[in-house]
Amino acid sequence: MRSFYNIAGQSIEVELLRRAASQLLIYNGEESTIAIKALGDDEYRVTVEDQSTSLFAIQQGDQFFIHLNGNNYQVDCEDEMQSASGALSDEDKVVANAPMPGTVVAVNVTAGQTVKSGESLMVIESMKMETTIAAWRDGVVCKINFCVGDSFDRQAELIQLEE
Amino acid sequence: MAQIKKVLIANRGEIAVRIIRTLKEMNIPSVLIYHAEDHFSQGVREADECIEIFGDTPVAAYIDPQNIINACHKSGANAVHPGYGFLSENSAFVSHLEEEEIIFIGPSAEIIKLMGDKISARSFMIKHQFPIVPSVVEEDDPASFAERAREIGVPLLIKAAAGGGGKGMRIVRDPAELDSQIEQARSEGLRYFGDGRLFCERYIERPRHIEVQILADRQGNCVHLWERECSIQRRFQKVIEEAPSPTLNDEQRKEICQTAVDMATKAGYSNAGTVEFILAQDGSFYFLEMNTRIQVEHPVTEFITGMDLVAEQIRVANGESLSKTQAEIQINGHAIECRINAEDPDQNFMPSLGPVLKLRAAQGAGIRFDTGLQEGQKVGSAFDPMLGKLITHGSNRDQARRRSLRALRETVLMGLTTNINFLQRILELDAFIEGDLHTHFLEEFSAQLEPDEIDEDTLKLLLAAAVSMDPQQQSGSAEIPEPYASIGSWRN
Amino acid sequence: MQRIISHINTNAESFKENSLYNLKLRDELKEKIRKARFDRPQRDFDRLKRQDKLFVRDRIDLLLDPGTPFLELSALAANRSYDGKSPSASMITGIGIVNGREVMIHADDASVKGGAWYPLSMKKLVRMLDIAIENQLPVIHLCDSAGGFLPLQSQFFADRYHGGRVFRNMCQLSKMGVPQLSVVLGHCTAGGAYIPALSEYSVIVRGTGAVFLGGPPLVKAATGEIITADELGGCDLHTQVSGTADYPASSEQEAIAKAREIVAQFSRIEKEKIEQQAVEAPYYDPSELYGIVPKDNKIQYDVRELIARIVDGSRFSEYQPAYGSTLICGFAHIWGYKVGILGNNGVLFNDSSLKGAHFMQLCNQNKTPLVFLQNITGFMVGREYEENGITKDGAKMIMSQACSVVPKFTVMVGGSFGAGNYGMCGRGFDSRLLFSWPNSKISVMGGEQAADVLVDIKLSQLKKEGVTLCEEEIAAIRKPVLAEYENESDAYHSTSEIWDDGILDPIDTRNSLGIAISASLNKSIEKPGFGTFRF
Repeated sequence: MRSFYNIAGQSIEVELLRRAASQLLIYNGEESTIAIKALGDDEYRVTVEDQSTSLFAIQQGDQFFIHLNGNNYQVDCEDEMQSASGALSDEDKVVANAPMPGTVVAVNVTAGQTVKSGESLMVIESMKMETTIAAWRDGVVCKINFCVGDSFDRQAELIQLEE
Repeated sequence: MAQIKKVLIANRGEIAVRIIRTLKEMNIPSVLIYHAEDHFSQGVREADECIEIFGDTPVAAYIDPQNIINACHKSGANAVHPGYGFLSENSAFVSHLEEEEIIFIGPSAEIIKLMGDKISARSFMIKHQFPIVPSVVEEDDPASFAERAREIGVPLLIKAAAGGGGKGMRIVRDPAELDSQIEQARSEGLRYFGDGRLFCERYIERPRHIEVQILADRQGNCVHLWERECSIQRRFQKVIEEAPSPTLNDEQRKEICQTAVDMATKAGYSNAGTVEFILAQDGSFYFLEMNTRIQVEHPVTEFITGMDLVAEQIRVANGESLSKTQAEIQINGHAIECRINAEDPDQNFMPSLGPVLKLRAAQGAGIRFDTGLQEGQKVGSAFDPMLGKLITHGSNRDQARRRSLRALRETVLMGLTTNINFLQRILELDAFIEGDLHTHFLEEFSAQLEPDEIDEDTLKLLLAAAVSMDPQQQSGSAEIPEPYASIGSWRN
Repeated sequence: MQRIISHINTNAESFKENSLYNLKLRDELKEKIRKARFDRPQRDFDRLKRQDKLFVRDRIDLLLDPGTPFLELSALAANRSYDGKSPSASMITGIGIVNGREVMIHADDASVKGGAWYPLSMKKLVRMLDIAIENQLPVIHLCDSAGGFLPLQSQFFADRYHGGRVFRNMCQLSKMGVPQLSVVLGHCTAGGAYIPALSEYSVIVRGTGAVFLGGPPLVKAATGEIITADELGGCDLHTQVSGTADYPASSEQEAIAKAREIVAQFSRIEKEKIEQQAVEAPYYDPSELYGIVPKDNKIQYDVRELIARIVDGSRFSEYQPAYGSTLICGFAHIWGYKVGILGNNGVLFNDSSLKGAHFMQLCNQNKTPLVFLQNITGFMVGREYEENGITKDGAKMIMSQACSVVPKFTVMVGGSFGAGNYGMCGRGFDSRLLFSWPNSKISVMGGEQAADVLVDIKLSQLKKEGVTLCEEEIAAIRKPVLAEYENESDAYHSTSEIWDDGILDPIDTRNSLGIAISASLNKSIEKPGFGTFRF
């Protein structure tokens, strides 16, 4: 099965294949024989071809956290459907999703108001940092889902523009 | 004066743990207040007693003086250690405690009030002829504020009188922008501190941030514990601090430290405090502000002086005299602190959130890791993004630096994005190695601080680890039937 | 199982000459295939790009599981027809893996004439569905065709194996419980509209996909209504209003990802269990095949040398090694699957025919698929052999072969002449898959012999008229006859007419058979049964 792993902003198509006793990583049209051995306590010994290294790795939902050679990496997984349908252009986007959990500090528009791309719709605060939710395109505000002081989770639908 | 019998810690996170540890060493029982968000924190596990507090928001719970006073009454604590932040520099709170006959482990309400207001602190320093950056205060004559500011000449820095932590600060390089920047600073001041008063000062290019740790007892002894350099900042937030400063020579060091002692003495200061200075490229220095509390970065001072600052605070609050005289306080080696934050340096320091899935601190000589985090704890958006502090000590700066690098590499903190790799990159920059620091260092070197491209071998290892653990892939891969799997990507 | 001992001397002059010759044939094949796959005027690629469409090869790569093989069938179909204007008969068919499921794929190639179907396209489509039926393979249709190529409609519409057969086959497949999935990436007009409509599942791309019985020009001509393709039969109409298509997709990528997700929901068929063992690569290097197959197909060679370079570990358990030595029979494994192999070492005699007939019965009895390596000039002729019943012995072999219930696979490795083609499972006998090597020749008799026969007939006619010809005049008659014969017996002619399922580079034979056998086991093997044998 085809997966897309996002590492440092780069989306990489990968596939795991089993051949006889070995596992093969297919990426970039190349095959590499891989092996993984759990050492306990989230530590693993990972072998790619002849190179072998210890690392820490933990999976949480669609994310992997990997600590390798003193560096911390995050691998975000997407399956092919997510990857193929995820690329909605801003023009088609209807709703602004919260980039992180937080609370609403200000709502600068009202439903029915016409807004220009870039105009501030809402200000949210998370971990003492304020983020402005700006209009991603010209349009008419049709729904505001939170009031000042409300808190919300990551990906919450904050505000909607008419289609 | 009453003896301290039991101390309530009006704080959370790593500083709560830090204070509890000293209290244990001094055989003083500890009480920790906590909001439900912190239920699983390390402080709650380590304190002798815990009292849950409530509020509209988690922060509101910690800054409600009544919550603390009630908790003191409930637990019988007769002293409060405020840590840093929250109520630590709130003079009304300190007065309130005095009324309740609860000992505040810190300076008096008056001094907090004097130093807590930038304008009054500044007036005090001018009055006593301490060095101050040329500046004008709006309140002196609001109508002529902009005009007076212009007279100082650009670059200028506009600050909110009640400000701190970089909020309400504006740099003006173009005189034409002065008016609009004044308004923006005022609105931020109003928004964050409920106080729109401003002042304006000469902006010093490539300044260093040097601060001096002060300890004063009620017997009139006032000593300094040498300086710290905190020039590595982003958005006015300190990122890496070290002691001693790599730039000061012995003469400068003595002068700046003595100035800080003189200031504290003049103010009749008691307990621990920090005088912050701006050091210009020409070696001149100016008073910036005085922090009337324990600082986040106090461990670097503890490493080079061998003193326990929290213990000294408690001694002073208990009416005892300081444990050491100035002559006994010598600099031993060099210490560096790295603040580990829940943020993504590659995404404009956007705060990150998530559970702490794995936490493994680095080990070895000269390494100290102060944190209030526990594995399994969820880092939310309610508090400050600081997860912990990694402090290392070496016989010289380079050893301390190398030790920090090693310790950062060995620190395993997984489950959310942190700045650990970013800190490593700072410590590896030539300019950092040479000690050529200033408060805009991170902006100047932002291009060099970008992460390196991940090399092919590393990428393969990461992908190999991820596919091996990905349940979708594990079930998916078993599905390729033979002989197709073995034939591979063959085409006829 | 014993390893075949090869007697090939790779340093021999003949080996080198054969290699040179066969490698040249291999290169010609590769070049022809490359051209059929990719040789298009730039403007055709530009047009696809303008239409937001992917090239058909890229669609297939997206559809297949990465790192898995694709056995393309009839890549050179129509290579000798329509002035080469219908490369691969304007469509790709083949067997591959989608989300772990073994499937048949049909993909229209809109880069040539809008993917219009020529008569041979229809034949290829019918054959593809026959293969799906015979092997119970789910089919994925990547639809993007302008419909039948109207100027040639008389050659693809009305007859039994013409257009209607496509839909009949689709219905039969559905009735057997084998699912089909259509991904509508372009227009499906007229008959083509039934492909998604008869499929169990369908996905349609918004903007480019459309399904209708009559396209906008036809509608305008018939009723005067002026309507766009999208309004008439686009994604939203069919997924929201008519219900003709199931899943909307906003791009080809999304449509193909959706298709993969749908395939992942197919239940896996319990495959027929045949004898299997751990896979072993051939002991002898398969690339030596180029040096073994003679330059001149009149030269007889030992078919065991071919077997040694195709089967697992080059191991072969030969049946009746001392009897009927012109037909080599025996058991071996290909990609771990046990097979019974029949290969020619000369003309078929009575004993070799009887041996073959009996061996095939054994394979039917123990559920062993049959592999025919066909290099045969026919059954022996002459009074002595007729007296010995060569025809009835040949009939036994044909009966045994034709009634076999185990999957059969045929590879034309040399000549295929006369009734030998029948005995060795030629096209008429429903091999699950039949492949040719580029050197192979096929005709009712050898070219030379046929030319001689034809010339003799001509000469006796002329003789009756009192005309006698000199040597040169005879040669002048013989030459064009021979040339046409050679041309029509050529593998490229065979494959153009879809008399096979594709020409293979000889070293690809092992993988192709491996996939073919694996696919064949989706269908359970019936109990053996034969007709009457003439004794």
